[in-house]
Amino acid sequence: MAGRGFRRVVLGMDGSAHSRRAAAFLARVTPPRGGRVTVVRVVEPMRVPAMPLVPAPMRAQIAGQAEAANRSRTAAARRQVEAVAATLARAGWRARGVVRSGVPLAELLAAIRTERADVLALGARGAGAVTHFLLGSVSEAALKHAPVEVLIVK
Amino acid sequence: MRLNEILFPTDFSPASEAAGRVAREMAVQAGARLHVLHVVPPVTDPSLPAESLARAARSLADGLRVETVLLSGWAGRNVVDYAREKRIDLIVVGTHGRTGITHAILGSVAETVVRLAPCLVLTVPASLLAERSAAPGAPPAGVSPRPCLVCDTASEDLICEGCRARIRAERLEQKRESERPGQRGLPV
Repeated sequence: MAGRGFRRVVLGMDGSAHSRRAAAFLARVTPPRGGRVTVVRVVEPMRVPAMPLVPAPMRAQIAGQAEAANRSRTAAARRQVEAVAATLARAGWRARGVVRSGVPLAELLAAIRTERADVLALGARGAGAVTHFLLGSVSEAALKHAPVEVLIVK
Repeated sequence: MRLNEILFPTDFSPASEAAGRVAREMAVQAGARLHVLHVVPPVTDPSLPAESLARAARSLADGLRVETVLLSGWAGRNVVDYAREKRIDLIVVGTHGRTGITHAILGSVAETVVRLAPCLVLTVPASLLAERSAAPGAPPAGVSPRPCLVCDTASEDLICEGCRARIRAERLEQKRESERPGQRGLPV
């Protein structure tokens, strides 16, 4: 990172206020030359259990509903990352939004690898139910496992 | 947003060395003042850490506004209080990148800082030090190149990568030869 600041950033979004602040912070810093941000939101897919005793039509209906929920969540996530990417692009970054499906931490680490990022930017607290913790579970795990610098925004 | 005050808490370990480099780069880029802070445990002679701190600050100072601070007490808490008091914008802290028990013992200061800091925190894993200091194509720092036992070219290993690949290929070929059907009395 010799004198380059944040060059290739993966910004993890989850819809929480802290992650929006992380995005706002990046939008305020002057991007280095060639600086790019990949805005990543991970959607955890809703899975339906096998339900062997449930009649087939009902099973199909439940599966269909789960699929519709996944689709709408993915669409909402895509709208969000694209809006954030557009804001960052206005600030001078080369930015794009990516929605990944799976376990948040694993997908963030995979995004770091594929984007060859040198910084992972995250909000301090996530969108989980326990909002009073000082550090979200994903942020905490990222600190331990990320092979790159991690920027925690409060 | 401007980063005017950057804090680099150090324990003089390799992990904080990597963070120091990043902190310096950030400060140079942002034109910020760099605070180099060391916290000595209570009831310790602070003269030795003072020397190390001055040395660390000198190595980072080149063309930069640097302030050195030596505090006594509990490291994590002191770093956070200092950041609040001096209105620090960014704390750059090294992590050992270990998990389990070693993490619980050694990474606890970084963890306290991340949890309680009033400002941005950038964590730098120690593993980045080796990666960054190695120039492309050159052997990693601290490894003296010695000739490969087979072909005599400089290599960090006893036998260089190319020779190892060749030897492996030869062995595999020999194995295939010896296992060819018909040579061990197997039906063709």
